[in-house]
Amino acid sequence: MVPGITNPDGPAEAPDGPVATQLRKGVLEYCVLALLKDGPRYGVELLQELGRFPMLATSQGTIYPLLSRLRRAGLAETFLRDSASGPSRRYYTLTDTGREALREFTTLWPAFRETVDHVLDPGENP
Amino acid sequence: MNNPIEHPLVRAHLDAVTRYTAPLSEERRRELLADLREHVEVSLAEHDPADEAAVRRVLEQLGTPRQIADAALAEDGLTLPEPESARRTNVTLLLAVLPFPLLLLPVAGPVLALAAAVTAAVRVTSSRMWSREQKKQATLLLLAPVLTTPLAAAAFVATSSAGLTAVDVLAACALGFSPVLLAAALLARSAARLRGAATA
Repeated sequence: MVPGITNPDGPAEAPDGPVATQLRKGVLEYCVLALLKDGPRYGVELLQELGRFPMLATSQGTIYPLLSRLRRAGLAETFLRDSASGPSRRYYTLTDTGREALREFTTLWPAFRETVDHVLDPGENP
Repeated sequence: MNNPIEHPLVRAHLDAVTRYTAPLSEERRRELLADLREHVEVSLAEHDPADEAAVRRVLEQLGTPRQIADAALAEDGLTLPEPESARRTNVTLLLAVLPFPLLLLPVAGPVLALAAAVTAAVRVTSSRMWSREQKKQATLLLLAPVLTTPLAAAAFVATSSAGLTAVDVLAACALGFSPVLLAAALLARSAARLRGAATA
Protein backbone atom coordinates (compact mmCIF):
# COMPACT_ATOMS: atom_id res chain seq x y z
CA MET A 1 0.00 0.00 0.00
CA VAL A 2 1.22 3.46 -0.77
CA PRO A 3 1.61 5.33 2.51
CA GLY A 4 -0.79 8.21 2.95
CA ILE A 5 -3.59 6.68 0.92
CA THR A 6 -6.74 5.88 2.82
CA ASN A 7 -6.99 2.10 3.25
CA PRO A 8 -10.39 0.43 3.15
CA ASP A 9 -10.06 -0.80 6.75
CA GLY A 10 -10.39 2.71 8.10
CA PRO A 11 -9.51 6.27 7.18
CA ALA A 12 -5.95 7.24 7.95
CA GLU A 13 -5.66 10.32 10.08
CA ALA A 14 -4.16 13.29 8.28
CA PRO A 15 -1.00 14.37 10.08
CA ASP A 16 -1.73 17.88 11.24
CA GLY A 17 1.43 19.08 13.00
CA PRO A 18 3.68 21.94 11.89
CA VAL A 19 6.07 19.55 10.08
CA ALA A 20 3.25 18.07 7.98
CA THR A 21 1.89 21.56 7.25
CA GLN A 22 5.31 22.79 6.16
CA LEU A 23 5.88 19.80 3.90
CA ARG A 24 2.47 20.11 2.30
CA LYS A 25 3.03 23.78 1.57
CA GLY A 26 5.67 23.06 -1.05
CA VAL A 27 4.15 20.11 -2.89
CA LEU A 28 0.37 20.44 -2.62
CA GLU A 29 -0.07 22.78 -5.56
CA TYR A 30 1.87 20.44 -7.86
CA CYS A 31 -0.24 17.52 -6.68
CA VAL A 32 -3.35 19.54 -7.57
CA LEU A 33 -1.86 20.31 -10.99
CA ALA A 34 -1.10 16.58 -11.39
CA LEU A 35 -4.72 15.68 -10.67
CA LEU A 36 -5.75 17.96 -13.54
CA LYS A 37 -3.21 16.40 -15.92
CA ASP A 38 -5.70 14.07 -17.62
CA GLY A 39 -8.40 16.65 -18.19
CA PRO A 40 -10.67 19.18 -16.52
CA ARG A 41 -12.29 18.39 -13.18
CA TYR A 42 -14.88 20.32 -11.24
CA GLY A 43 -14.15 21.51 -7.71
CA VAL A 44 -15.95 18.83 -5.72
CA GLU A 45 -14.59 16.07 -7.97
CA LEU A 46 -11.04 17.38 -7.65
CA LEU A 47 -11.32 17.62 -3.86
CA GLN A 48 -12.78 14.13 -3.55
CA GLU A 49 -9.84 12.79 -5.52
CA LEU A 50 -7.44 14.74 -3.31
CA GLY A 51 -9.34 13.47 -0.24
CA ARG A 52 -8.06 9.96 -1.03
CA PHE A 53 -4.67 11.18 0.15
CA PRO A 54 -5.06 12.45 3.72
CA MET A 55 -1.31 13.14 3.78
CA LEU A 56 -1.88 15.98 1.31
CA ALA A 57 -4.95 17.80 2.56
CA THR A 58 -6.50 18.31 5.96
CA SER A 59 -9.88 19.55 4.79
CA GLN A 60 -11.48 20.33 1.46
CA GLY A 61 -12.33 23.98 2.10
CA THR A 62 -8.66 24.88 2.55
CA ILE A 63 -7.98 23.95 -1.11
CA TYR A 64 -10.15 26.69 -2.61
CA PRO A 65 -7.76 29.52 -1.72
CA LEU A 66 -4.99 27.47 -3.37
CA LEU A 67 -7.11 26.95 -6.50
CA SER A 68 -7.77 30.68 -6.57
CA ARG A 69 -4.05 31.38 -6.51
CA LEU A 70 -3.31 28.84 -9.25
CA ARG A 71 -5.88 30.60 -11.39
CA ARG A 72 -4.46 34.06 -10.68
CA ALA A 73 -0.94 32.79 -11.38
CA GLY A 74 -2.12 31.51 -14.76
CA LEU A 75 -1.37 27.85 -13.97
CA ALA A 76 -5.01 26.82 -14.15
CA GLU A 77 -8.18 28.26 -15.61
CA THR A 78 -11.85 27.65 -14.97
CA PHE A 79 -15.00 27.39 -17.03
CA LEU A 80 -18.62 26.73 -16.19
CA ARG A 81 -20.42 23.70 -17.55
CA ASP A 82 -24.06 22.76 -17.06
CA SER A 83 -24.73 19.60 -15.16
CA ALA A 84 -27.48 17.07 -15.91
CA SER A 85 -28.41 17.16 -12.24
CA GLY A 86 -28.15 20.22 -10.03
CA PRO A 87 -26.31 23.51 -10.47
CA SER A 88 -23.75 24.20 -13.18
CA ARG A 89 -20.21 23.35 -12.19
CA ARG A 90 -16.95 25.23 -12.30
CA TYR A 91 -14.29 23.10 -13.98
CA TYR A 92 -10.57 23.58 -13.44
CA THR A 93 -8.15 22.86 -16.25
CA LEU A 94 -4.40 23.21 -16.75
CA THR A 95 -2.97 26.02 -18.84
CA ASP A 96 0.23 25.58 -20.86
CA THR A 97 2.09 27.37 -18.04
CA GLY A 98 0.55 24.96 -15.54
CA ARG A 99 1.54 21.95 -17.63
CA GLU A 100 5.09 23.30 -17.88
CA ALA A 101 5.26 23.86 -14.08
CA LEU A 102 4.05 20.30 -13.50
CA ARG A 103 6.61 18.94 -15.95
CA GLU A 104 9.40 20.79 -14.16
CA PHE A 105 8.24 19.52 -10.76
CA THR A 106 8.00 15.97 -12.09
CA THR A 107 11.57 16.19 -13.38
CA LEU A 108 12.98 17.63 -10.15
CA TRP A 109 11.06 15.54 -7.67
CA PRO A 110 12.97 12.19 -7.86
CA ALA A 111 16.33 13.91 -7.34
CA PHE A 112 14.83 16.00 -4.55
CA ARG A 113 13.39 12.94 -2.82
CA GLU A 114 16.66 11.00 -3.12
CA THR A 115 18.64 13.94 -1.75
CA VAL A 116 16.41 14.24 1.31
CA ASP A 117 16.53 10.47 1.88
CA HIS A 118 20.30 10.57 1.68
CA VAL A 119 20.63 13.48 4.10
CA LEU A 120 18.29 11.78 6.55
CA ASP A 121 20.16 8.47 6.46
CA PRO A 122 23.46 8.49 4.52
CA GLY A 123 24.28 4.83 5.39
CA GLU A 124 20.96 3.44 4.23
CA ASN A 125 20.82 5.57 1.05
CA PRO A 126 24.34 5.84 -0.41
CA MET B 1 -36.05 25.10 1.50
CA ASN B 2 -34.88 23.86 -1.88
CA ASN B 3 -31.47 25.46 -1.90
CA PRO B 4 -28.94 23.80 0.44
CA ILE B 5 -27.25 27.20 0.83
CA GLU B 6 -30.28 28.32 2.84
CA HIS B 7 -29.81 25.56 5.42
CA PRO B 8 -29.17 27.19 8.84
CA LEU B 9 -26.08 25.03 9.44
CA VAL B 10 -24.59 26.03 6.08
CA ARG B 11 -25.36 29.69 6.67
CA ALA B 12 -23.80 29.62 10.13
CA HIS B 13 -20.69 27.92 8.71
CA LEU B 14 -20.29 30.43 5.86
CA ASP B 15 -21.05 33.40 8.14
CA ALA B 16 -18.25 32.25 10.43
CA VAL B 17 -15.86 32.03 7.45
CA THR B 18 -16.91 35.58 6.51
CA ARG B 19 -16.10 36.81 10.04
CA TYR B 20 -12.70 35.11 10.21
CA THR B 21 -11.64 36.41 6.80
CA ALA B 22 -12.14 40.08 7.69
CA PRO B 23 -8.47 40.91 6.86
CA LEU B 24 -8.85 39.62 3.27
CA SER B 25 -9.56 42.02 0.43
CA GLU B 26 -13.24 42.26 -0.49
CA GLU B 27 -12.62 40.63 -3.87
CA ARG B 28 -10.74 37.62 -2.46
CA ARG B 29 -13.33 37.16 0.25
CA ARG B 30 -16.22 37.22 -2.22
CA GLU B 31 -14.45 34.70 -4.42
CA LEU B 32 -13.78 32.32 -1.51
CA LEU B 33 -17.38 32.50 -0.30
CA ALA B 34 -18.67 31.91 -3.85
CA ASP B 35 -16.39 28.85 -4.18
CA LEU B 36 -17.57 27.44 -0.85
CA ARG B 37 -21.22 28.09 -1.67
CA GLU B 38 -20.86 26.33 -4.99
CA HIS B 39 -19.07 23.43 -3.32
CA VAL B 40 -21.90 22.91 -0.84
CA GLU B 41 -24.52 23.27 -3.57
CA VAL B 42 -22.87 20.70 -5.83
CA SER B 43 -22.10 18.32 -2.93
CA LEU B 44 -25.70 18.37 -1.74
CA ALA B 45 -27.34 18.42 -5.17
CA GLU B 46 -28.27 14.75 -4.98
CA HIS B 47 -29.53 14.90 -1.42
CA ASP B 48 -32.83 15.86 0.10
CA PRO B 49 -32.23 19.47 1.25
CA ALA B 50 -33.71 18.55 4.63
CA ASP B 51 -31.22 15.70 5.12
CA GLU B 52 -29.33 17.18 8.05
CA ALA B 53 -26.88 14.28 8.33
CA ALA B 54 -25.76 14.90 4.74
CA VAL B 55 -25.36 18.63 5.40
CA ARG B 56 -23.26 17.93 8.47
CA ARG B 57 -21.08 15.46 6.59
CA VAL B 58 -20.40 17.94 3.78
CA LEU B 59 -19.55 20.74 6.24
CA GLU B 60 -17.29 18.43 8.23
CA GLN B 61 -15.34 17.50 5.11
CA LEU B 62 -15.17 21.14 4.14
CA GLY B 63 -13.29 21.88 7.39
CA THR B 64 -13.94 24.26 10.26
CA PRO B 65 -14.45 27.94 9.39
CA ARG B 66 -11.20 28.68 11.21
CA GLN B 67 -9.22 26.12 9.13
CA ILE B 68 -10.62 27.49 5.88
CA ALA B 69 -10.03 31.11 6.90
CA ASP B 70 -6.48 30.38 8.09
CA ALA B 71 -5.68 28.75 4.74
CA ALA B 72 -7.13 31.72 2.83
CA LEU B 73 -5.27 34.27 4.98
CA ALA B 74 -1.99 32.31 4.74
CA GLU B 75 -2.34 32.28 0.94
CA ASP B 76 -2.23 36.10 1.04
CA GLY B 77 0.45 36.29 3.73
CA LEU B 78 -2.03 37.47 6.36
CA THR B 79 -3.04 36.21 9.80
CA LEU B 80 -6.16 36.75 11.84
CA PRO B 81 -5.37 39.84 13.92
CA GLU B 82 -4.97 39.23 17.63
CA PRO B 83 -7.42 41.43 19.52
CA GLU B 84 -5.84 44.05 21.79
CA SER B 85 -6.74 43.88 25.49
CA ALA B 86 -10.39 44.67 26.24
CA ARG B 87 -9.12 47.38 28.58
CA ARG B 88 -7.23 49.17 25.81
CA THR B 89 -10.29 49.08 23.55
CA ASN B 90 -12.50 50.39 26.35
CA VAL B 91 -10.19 53.34 27.02
CA THR B 92 -10.19 54.19 23.29
CA LEU B 93 -14.00 54.01 23.15
CA LEU B 94 -14.27 56.15 26.30
CA LEU B 95 -12.01 58.78 24.71
CA ALA B 96 -14.19 58.72 21.60
CA VAL B 97 -17.39 59.56 23.52
CA LEU B 98 -15.70 61.87 26.07
CA PRO B 99 -16.02 64.96 23.78
CA PHE B 100 -19.71 65.18 24.64
CA PRO B 101 -19.51 65.80 28.39
CA LEU B 102 -16.36 67.91 27.79
CA LEU B 103 -18.29 70.26 25.47
CA LEU B 104 -20.32 71.41 28.47
CA LEU B 105 -17.20 72.90 30.08
CA PRO B 106 -17.05 76.64 29.48
CA VAL B 107 -14.30 78.10 27.22
CA ALA B 108 -11.87 75.15 27.16
CA GLY B 109 -14.63 72.59 26.42
CA PRO B 110 -14.34 72.35 22.60
CA VAL B 111 -10.52 72.28 22.75
CA LEU B 112 -10.52 69.46 25.32
CA ALA B 113 -13.22 67.65 23.36
CA LEU B 114 -11.10 67.79 20.21
CA ALA B 115 -8.04 66.66 22.19
CA ALA B 116 -9.98 63.59 23.38
CA ALA B 117 -11.11 62.79 19.83
CA VAL B 118 -7.56 63.17 18.45
CA THR B 119 -6.17 60.92 21.21
CA ALA B 120 -8.79 58.28 20.38
CA ALA B 121 -7.81 58.49 16.68
CA VAL B 122 -4.11 58.04 17.54
CA ARG B 123 -4.93 55.00 19.69
CA VAL B 124 -6.93 53.44 16.87
CA THR B 125 -4.24 53.96 14.21
CA SER B 126 -1.46 52.67 16.48
CA SER B 127 -3.33 49.46 17.35
CA ARG B 128 -2.75 46.27 15.34
CA MET B 129 -6.31 45.11 15.86
CA TRP B 130 -8.05 47.29 13.28
CA SER B 131 -7.85 46.89 9.55
CA ARG B 132 -6.59 49.74 7.35
CA GLU B 133 -10.19 50.51 6.27
CA GLN B 134 -11.40 50.69 9.86
CA LYS B 135 -8.51 52.96 10.82
CA LYS B 136 -9.22 55.33 7.95
CA GLN B 137 -12.92 55.46 8.69
CA ALA B 138 -12.49 56.00 12.46
CA THR B 139 -9.86 58.72 11.95
CA LEU B 140 -12.05 60.61 9.46
CA LEU B 141 -15.04 60.51 11.78
CA LEU B 142 -13.05 61.40 14.90
CA LEU B 143 -11.40 64.40 13.23
CA ALA B 144 -14.54 65.51 11.38
CA PRO B 145 -15.56 68.02 14.14
CA VAL B 146 -12.72 70.29 12.96
CA LEU B 147 -14.85 70.91 9.87
CA THR B 148 -18.37 70.09 10.97
CA THR B 149 -18.42 72.30 14.09
CA PRO B 150 -17.55 75.59 12.28
CA LEU B 151 -19.99 74.59 9.51
CA ALA B 152 -22.77 74.01 12.03
CA ALA B 153 -21.95 77.35 13.71
CA ALA B 154 -22.02 79.14 10.34
CA ALA B 155 -25.40 77.58 9.61
CA PHE B 156 -26.74 78.87 12.91
CA VAL B 157 -25.41 82.39 12.20
CA ALA B 158 -26.98 82.36 8.75
CA THR B 159 -30.39 81.29 10.00
CA SER B 160 -30.63 83.36 13.21
CA SER B 161 -31.24 87.10 13.25
CA ALA B 162 -29.86 87.58 16.77
CA GLY B 163 -26.32 86.43 15.90
CA LEU B 164 -24.70 83.49 17.71
CA THR B 165 -26.19 82.95 21.19
CA ALA B 166 -24.62 80.70 23.84
CA VAL B 167 -27.26 78.07 23.14
CA ASP B 168 -26.42 78.23 19.42
CA VAL B 169 -22.74 77.63 20.19
CA LEU B 170 -23.56 74.62 22.33
CA ALA B 171 -25.95 73.26 19.71
CA ALA B 172 -23.36 73.80 16.95
CA CYS B 173 -20.74 71.94 19.03
CA ALA B 174 -23.13 69.06 19.75
CA LEU B 175 -24.00 68.79 16.06
CA GLY B 176 -20.41 69.20 14.91
CA PHE B 177 -19.12 66.52 17.27
CA SER B 178 -21.82 63.95 16.43
CA PRO B 179 -19.49 62.03 13.98
CA VAL B 180 -17.33 60.93 16.95
CA LEU B 181 -20.31 59.04 18.38
CA LEU B 182 -20.70 57.22 15.07
CA ALA B 183 -16.97 56.39 15.18
CA ALA B 184 -17.33 55.00 18.71
CA ALA B 185 -20.37 52.91 17.74
CA LEU B 186 -18.62 51.44 14.65
CA LEU B 187 -15.45 50.67 16.63
CA ALA B 188 -17.43 49.02 19.43
CA ARG B 189 -19.25 46.83 16.92
CA SER B 190 -16.15 45.65 15.08
CA ALA B 191 -14.28 45.10 18.37
CA ALA B 192 -17.08 42.81 19.56
CA ARG B 193 -16.95 40.97 16.21
CA LEU B 194 -13.17 40.51 16.28
CA ARG B 195 -13.29 39.26 19.86
CA GLY B 196 -16.04 36.81 18.91
CA ALA B 197 -13.99 35.58 15.96
CA ALA B 198 -10.84 35.09 18.05
CA THR B 199 -12.51 33.07 20.78
CA ALA B 200 -14.96 30.97 18.73
